[in-house]
Amino acid sequence: MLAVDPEPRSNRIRQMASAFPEEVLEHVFSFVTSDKDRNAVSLVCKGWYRIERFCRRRIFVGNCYAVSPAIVTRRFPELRAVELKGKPHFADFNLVPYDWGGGVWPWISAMAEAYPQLEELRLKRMVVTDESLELLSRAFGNFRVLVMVSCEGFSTSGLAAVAANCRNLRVLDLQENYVEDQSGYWLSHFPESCTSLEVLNLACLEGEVNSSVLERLVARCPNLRTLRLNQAVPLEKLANILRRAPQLVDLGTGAFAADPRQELYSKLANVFEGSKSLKSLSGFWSVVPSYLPAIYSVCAGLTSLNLSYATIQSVELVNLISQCHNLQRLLVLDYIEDSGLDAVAASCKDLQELRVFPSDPYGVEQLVSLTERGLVAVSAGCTKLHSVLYFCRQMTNAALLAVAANRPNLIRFRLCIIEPRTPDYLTQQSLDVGFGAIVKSCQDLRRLSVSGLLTDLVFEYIGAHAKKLEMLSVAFAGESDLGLHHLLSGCKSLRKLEIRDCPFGNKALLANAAKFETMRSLWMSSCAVSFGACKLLAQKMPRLNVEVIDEVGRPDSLPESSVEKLYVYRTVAGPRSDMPDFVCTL
Amino acid sequence: MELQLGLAPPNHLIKGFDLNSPEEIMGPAKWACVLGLCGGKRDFDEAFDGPIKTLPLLWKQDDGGDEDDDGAQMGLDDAHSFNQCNNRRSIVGWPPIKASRKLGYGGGSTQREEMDESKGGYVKVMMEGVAIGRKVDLTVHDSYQTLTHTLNNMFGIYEKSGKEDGAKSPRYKLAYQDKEGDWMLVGDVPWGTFVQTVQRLKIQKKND
Repeated sequence: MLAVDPEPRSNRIRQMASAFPEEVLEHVFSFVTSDKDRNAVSLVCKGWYRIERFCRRRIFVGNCYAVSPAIVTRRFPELRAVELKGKPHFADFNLVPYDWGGGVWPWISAMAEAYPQLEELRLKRMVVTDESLELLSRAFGNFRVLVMVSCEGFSTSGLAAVAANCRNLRVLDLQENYVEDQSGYWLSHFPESCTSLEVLNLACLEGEVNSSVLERLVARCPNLRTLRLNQAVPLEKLANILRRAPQLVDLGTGAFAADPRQELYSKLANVFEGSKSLKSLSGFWSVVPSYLPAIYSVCAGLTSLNLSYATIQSVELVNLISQCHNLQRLLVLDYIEDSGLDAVAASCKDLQELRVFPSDPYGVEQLVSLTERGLVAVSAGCTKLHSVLYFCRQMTNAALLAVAANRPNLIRFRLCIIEPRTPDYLTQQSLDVGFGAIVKSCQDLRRLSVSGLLTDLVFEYIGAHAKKLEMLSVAFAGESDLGLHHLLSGCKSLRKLEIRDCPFGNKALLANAAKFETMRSLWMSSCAVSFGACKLLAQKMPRLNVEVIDEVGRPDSLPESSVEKLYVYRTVAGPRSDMPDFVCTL
Repeated sequence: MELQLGLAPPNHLIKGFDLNSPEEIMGPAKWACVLGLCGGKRDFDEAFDGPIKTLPLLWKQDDGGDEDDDGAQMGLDDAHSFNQCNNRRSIVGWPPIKASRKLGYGGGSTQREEMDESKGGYVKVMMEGVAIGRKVDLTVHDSYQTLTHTLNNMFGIYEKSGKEDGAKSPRYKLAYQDKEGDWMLVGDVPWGTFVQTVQRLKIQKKND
């Protein structure tokens, strides 16, 4: 046991900090990779802050408006990898107006000056113009990794610039972006000298790409481990392309459909037999079931399978999935039905993540037999299941209780009962108790989406029990401000809260104003928050941006009427300067 | 353009619903009552100094079209009108599915798609304040100008320039519902794209 040192703690720290030369500290810090830990390191003392900021190589900015490019480049002069997120999550569902913001240009232009050595850029829900991509391609000589998820604003011309100018490109990963198709020939802009690709994900592109150009590109990149094709690549070309990359670990097919032809089938079966490293399969934009057995040879090795675009029936899905004994991640349409999920529960004992999407989201009748029973079955049979996204049309408290009891290890639980405010169909009661059981049982729950008929009670449960909950999505639920108050006064780990069409209003918002500085953001749309309250919140909390989005009229003309949409986020950058006229920061 | 472009506004009749005066209840708030949400919840009002004004619980933009579709009048007794709507696309962004996923169902056409194809180029047009909708044949139009000209004639909208400088002050805006169920401003996309995706139209008074 150490003797008590009479010297003040701050002196001891300074001594400790200066006991090591900077180079040693830098070396030690290089092993500290998580953002949280890095931030902690920088807070120890001024010396460490200074050293740490010069040797930080990667940052993650969860809200691009929480900080400005100038602040970032000033503090961290030596970054190599930057990750930015722009629009709020509900932008995925068209709730955020098109030109709300999230443009990446200010970031790229600032980084072009500050970080000529930048290697990696990851963007999510940002507006990326062709000019931004062109600047990126010219400004960063050693650029290696470009990942864009749910972005928009660019065309294949921008991609052509990246292909042409980024000599050392390793990763071009385009996930669910909206890309304007100017020409499929952008792929030809990869020079013959480009052999460094490791990840090429083109799945979201709508237009055609030249198959032989693609094939040659694939052939000359021996380190290619991920290749995801778009819908336009026909099945006939798949075998040729795949044959060039037997080392692939992750394949996204193009269309998996053609007239049944024996020689095409054999060709495919052969080439898949040669793909001994495949662990992940996706694509399957359209499927002719008779071709599916061609991939059976890789099923045993698969850990990830995305069939969520495959409109094939349960029997065919089960034939395939039941061979995937090592599956950890499954995405599928509700065509799988309860019977198919029974099979999943029996065959896929390592399953960790399940997502079931609706095949007919806008229909009113239930056309497929996918109910709460399938969810319960998987929760019982798959002991490692920790992430669930489930769209269905009926639910019971009993089912939710069963899931909660079966799977206390759930980390993500997103349930979407398609009809708003659907009660427990057996008891006609609200689903408060069911979701309450989930949050009580699943102590590590980080993400939750609730649906169905819910009163303020469910929020009392969530506020009290969901101690590790970081992200909560609420729609058509609750009865009064008390519901929101329960959430904001509890949920100590809450970072992101998004709410739509709930009768939550001013009182809860204002009573919990301080909470918003502990969170990344709050989204409320079609609720009962008045313009006056938003203004008050903004006055009370100067370190928040309180954005009122109102496309219809001038919200301040009627201060007591409810605002359309409210987006509140903490920031050190002050109000942003790029707002369109239907957005105002108060 | 003669008709001002604009999105359909959210339900601007923002009142709390009073169970004692059913005639005040409008639109979507009704089935909130039917589902048993309203009874016994006034305790929270006492906790929070009086009734909390709430929005109608659903932002249902297409109040006009769906009732005509299934022939039901949106009366006070029609408690299940929401459930019976043939088309749930009235709610923006619900169910929460990404756009890329909606477009991805490239498989066989559903019954709805087949129905859409069979109606030829006709789309329904509703005008705010007018009970009976009309139908307009898009195939005989080749531009937004001709379309708005037809709609002006159909609904008797004659834009008078009330300003001295002779500028038109459009009193209406035109919105359309696309294949994904989202309401959009007419005129943002090229005409050809618009024709492919439009499901119905709505003329609304512009709130100035």
